Amino acid sequence: MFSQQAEREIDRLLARYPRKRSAIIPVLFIAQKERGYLSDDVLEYVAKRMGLTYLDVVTVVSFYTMFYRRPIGKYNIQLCNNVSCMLCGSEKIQEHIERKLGITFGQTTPDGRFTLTEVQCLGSCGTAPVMQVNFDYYENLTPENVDQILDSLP
Amino acid sequence: MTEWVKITIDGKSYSAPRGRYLLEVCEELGIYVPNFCYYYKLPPQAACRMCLVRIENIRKLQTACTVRVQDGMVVTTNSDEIIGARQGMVDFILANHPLDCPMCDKGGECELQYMSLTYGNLFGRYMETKEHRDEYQLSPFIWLDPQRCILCYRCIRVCDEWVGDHALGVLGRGAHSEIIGNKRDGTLECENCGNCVEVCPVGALTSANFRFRARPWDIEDTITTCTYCADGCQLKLSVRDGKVVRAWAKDMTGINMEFLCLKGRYGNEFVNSPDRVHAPLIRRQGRLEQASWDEAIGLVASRLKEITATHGAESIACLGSPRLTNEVLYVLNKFARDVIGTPWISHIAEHDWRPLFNMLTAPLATQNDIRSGKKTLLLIGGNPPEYNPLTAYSLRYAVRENGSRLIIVNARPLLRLPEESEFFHIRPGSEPALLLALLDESQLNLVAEITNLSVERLGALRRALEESEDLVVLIGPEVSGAALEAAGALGARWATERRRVRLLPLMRFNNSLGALDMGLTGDLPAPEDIGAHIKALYLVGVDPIRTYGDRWREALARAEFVVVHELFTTETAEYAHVVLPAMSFAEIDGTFTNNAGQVQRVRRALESGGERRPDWVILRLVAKGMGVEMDVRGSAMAMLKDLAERVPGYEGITYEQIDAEGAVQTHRALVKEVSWNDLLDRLNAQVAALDRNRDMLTEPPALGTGLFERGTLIEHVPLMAQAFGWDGSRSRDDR
Repeated sequence: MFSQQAEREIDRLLARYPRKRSAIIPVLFIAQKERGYLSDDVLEYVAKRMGLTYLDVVTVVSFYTMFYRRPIGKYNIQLCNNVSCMLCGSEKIQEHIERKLGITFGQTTPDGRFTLTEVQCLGSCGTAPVMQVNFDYYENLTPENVDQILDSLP
Repeated sequence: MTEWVKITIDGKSYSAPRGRYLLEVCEELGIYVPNFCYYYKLPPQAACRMCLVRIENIRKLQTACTVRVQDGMVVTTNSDEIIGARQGMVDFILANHPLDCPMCDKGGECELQYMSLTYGNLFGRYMETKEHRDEYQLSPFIWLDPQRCILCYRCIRVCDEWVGDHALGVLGRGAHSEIIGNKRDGTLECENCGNCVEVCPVGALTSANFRFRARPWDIEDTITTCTYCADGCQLKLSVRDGKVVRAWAKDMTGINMEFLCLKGRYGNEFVNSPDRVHAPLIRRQGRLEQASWDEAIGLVASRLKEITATHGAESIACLGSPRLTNEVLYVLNKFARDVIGTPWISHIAEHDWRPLFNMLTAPLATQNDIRSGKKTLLLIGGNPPEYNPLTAYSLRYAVRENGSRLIIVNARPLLRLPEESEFFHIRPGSEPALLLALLDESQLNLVAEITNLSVERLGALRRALEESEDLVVLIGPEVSGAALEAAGALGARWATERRRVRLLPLMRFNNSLGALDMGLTGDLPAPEDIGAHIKALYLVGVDPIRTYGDRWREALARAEFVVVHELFTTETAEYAHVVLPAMSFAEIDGTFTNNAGQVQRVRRALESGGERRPDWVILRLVAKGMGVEMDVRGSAMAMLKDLAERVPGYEGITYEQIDAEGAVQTHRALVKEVSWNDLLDRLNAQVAALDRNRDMLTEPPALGTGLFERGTLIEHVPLMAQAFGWDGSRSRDDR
C-alpha cells in the first residue's frame, strides 16, 4: 500500500518490539507521512499489517490530535486552549486567527494553505499562549506576532 | 504461600495478604469504599477515582483499586478531605450525565444514582452545557446511550478479558470520549453475549429485550440453571406479570461467576411464546384438535396397552431429551422399564460419551478446577467459545489470572482463546491418533504421519504433560469410540503422586450427563426399525426429525402410535397422534447435572399458563391410566430424595446441600485397573482406519456457528428470531 521504503521501515519497527502492537504510533506516523492523513482504508491496512483490529487502531488514532483523519492544509496551526494558555489569552488568539483566516477549529482554508486545530497542553505553560505550526513552536503569542508569523510562512 | 502483612485502616489494625489491592482488602473487611470502575477480577482501571483514600506518607490521595497493600500501611478511608474529593469526583462524573433518572432504564438499580445520593453534592458545581448525544443500537441485542456513559471502561475490560471478543473501544479523549463497537460505523459485530450490559453501572448499555419493559422493583428474580449448554451456568430469571423479562448472571457465587453467553442471557423468552402448546391435542381425521386431559391420557394409556398386547412391550420406544431435569428423566426411565417394560429407553444424544465414563480413571474437572491455581490445560478438539462458552471463559481466566498453560490440539485454529496458548494443528479427524501418542510413546512416528505433527512436536506435547503438576484435559466431541476410552484412561496413564489429572467432556446439552446417569441409553432404534419391529414412540421433549433429519419423517409416518410431550408443535409433533403440553424449565423445580457432574437446582420462576403439566406428572398419569401406580413421590424435592437413594453417585444429595454449596459434584466410580493391551488394540484399530490424506484446515470456524445455531427453543425467542432473520424479516446473510 505504501512506498517500498515505508514498508521496509514498518517491518523494521515491527521487529523492534516484543509485542507488535507497541509499534502502533510510529507505524501510524509513517502511514500519515505517506498519505497525508489516515483514511479508513489506511487504518484497516495498518491493522492488518500489525495483527490488530480496526478498532484497536482507530481508538489510538482518535486519542491524538497529531493524527489526521481528514486531509489537512499545508500548515497545521495547533492552538493550545488548556488552562495556562486560556488564562493568558488563547481565546483572543483563537478569535483573531479565526477572523483572519475565515475558518474555525477543525477547518481548512479553501486554498488548502491553513488548517486550524484545537490541541491540549503543548507542555510550554511558561510561555503561554502557545501554538505549534506543523512541528515548530511559537510562544508568548499576541494578535500582532501571530499576524507576523502566519504572513512570513513560505 | 500467602504472606500476611499488618495494615491499619481507620485506626484499627488488620492483617491482609501482601500484594492484594487495598480496595479488595477493605471490601473483605467490610469497610466500604465507594467505586465504579473497579470490578472483581478485572484489571484495575482507576478511571472513576471514587475510591480515593489517604495513605500515610504519600502526598496525594490514592485510588484504593490500584494500590497494593504493604506492611505497616496506614490508611484513612473517611475524612472531610476524602468526602470533599468524592464530591468533586461525582461532580465530574455528572458533568455530561443527564439528571433524568426517572426516564432512564437503569433507575432503581443504578450505581451512579446511589453514589450521587450518598456521596454527591446537593448542588452540582459544574455549570457548563451538557454535551447531548442520541442513543442508538449497537447490535440487535445491545443499545448504547452515550451521554449516560461515565467511561468506567468496565464493558471494554469485560469484553477483552472475560469474553475475548475485543469488540468495544473508546473513541476520542477527555470529556468527548465515547464507547464504540468494532465495526466501521461504530456498531458491534460480536457474539452479543451482553456481559457488557451486565456490568454497566449506569444506563448507558441496555439490552434490547429488557429496556423500558420493567422496573427493578416490580420484577421478581429466581436463581436457576441455564437450559442450553452442558456447562450449566447459574442465572437469575426476572419475571414480571407472569412473563420472563430478562436473564442475568448470579452475583459472583455461581460456577459462572457473572458470565453468561448469548443464549443464556437472551435465549429464555421462548417461555413466554404465544406458540406454546397450552392444552392436550389429539389427532382426529388427520388434524390435531384440542382435547381434555382425561381423554388424552385415556387414549395414550389404551393404545400403549393394545400395542403391548399385540406386538409386545419391546415394540414401544421411549426417547427423552437431554434438556429435561434429572427428576423427569428418572421417572421416564422407570416408566419405560417398569410400566411399559421396554429396553428401548434412550436420550437423543449428539455424541456417544459412554466410552469415556466406562473407562474413567480421573475425576471430572469443574469450572473452578480450571480457574483455580496454576494448571496445564489440554484441549483436544471441541470449540468451547461456541459450544461451551463458560469453559472458554474459564480457560481465558486461568491463563490471565494464574498464568496457566493452555495447549490446544485442534484441526482448526480457534478464535477467542488467549494469544498465549500453544496450538498443535492436526489433520481433521486425527484426534484418536493424538490420544495414541499420549498413551503409547513407541508409536510417535505413526502418529506424526497421521496427525501431520512432527515427532518433535509430539515429543514437546508429551513433555508439556510431563512438566505439568496439575493437568486438566478437555475433550471435544471429535474424540469418539476407543479414543474416548483412551481419554478416560489418561488419568491412569498420567496421574502420579505429584500430578493431579482431571477430565472435562465438552458435552452439548444442559443435562446430557444427567440423562446418562438416570439410565437412559444412547441406543436409539434405527429409523428403518420404526414400523418394522418398533410400533410406537413415546417422545418426551424430543424432535428426531430436527435432530436427525428427514429419514425420521418417513419413520414417524410408519409408526402406529406417536405420543409427544412438547412445548411447541415441532415437526415431529406434526406426526404425533397425541401431543401433551409440558412445562418448561422455568416453570418447574428440579436439577440438572452439568458436564462436570455437578448437580444444580432448577427453580420454578413463574406459573405456567394453560393446562400444562410437568413431564413427570404426565408420565404418572399415563401409568395410572395403564393400571400401574408408579412408585414416585409427589414433588420434585421428594423425587430428588428417591433418586439420591438409587442412582449411583447421587447418594445423599439434597436441596439443602445444593443451596449451601451452589453445585454438588456427583461421585463417579473410577476404573482401577485398565487392561492396557485391550485398550491399545482397540485404539490402534481405530487409528489404522483413519484417513491419512484429508486436507488440513487453516480457517478458524466462523464466529457464531454454535451460539447462533437455530433450535426449537431459540427460534421462539422474538429477539433471536428477529436478529437472525428466522421470522422472515431478514435473510441470514444480512446480519
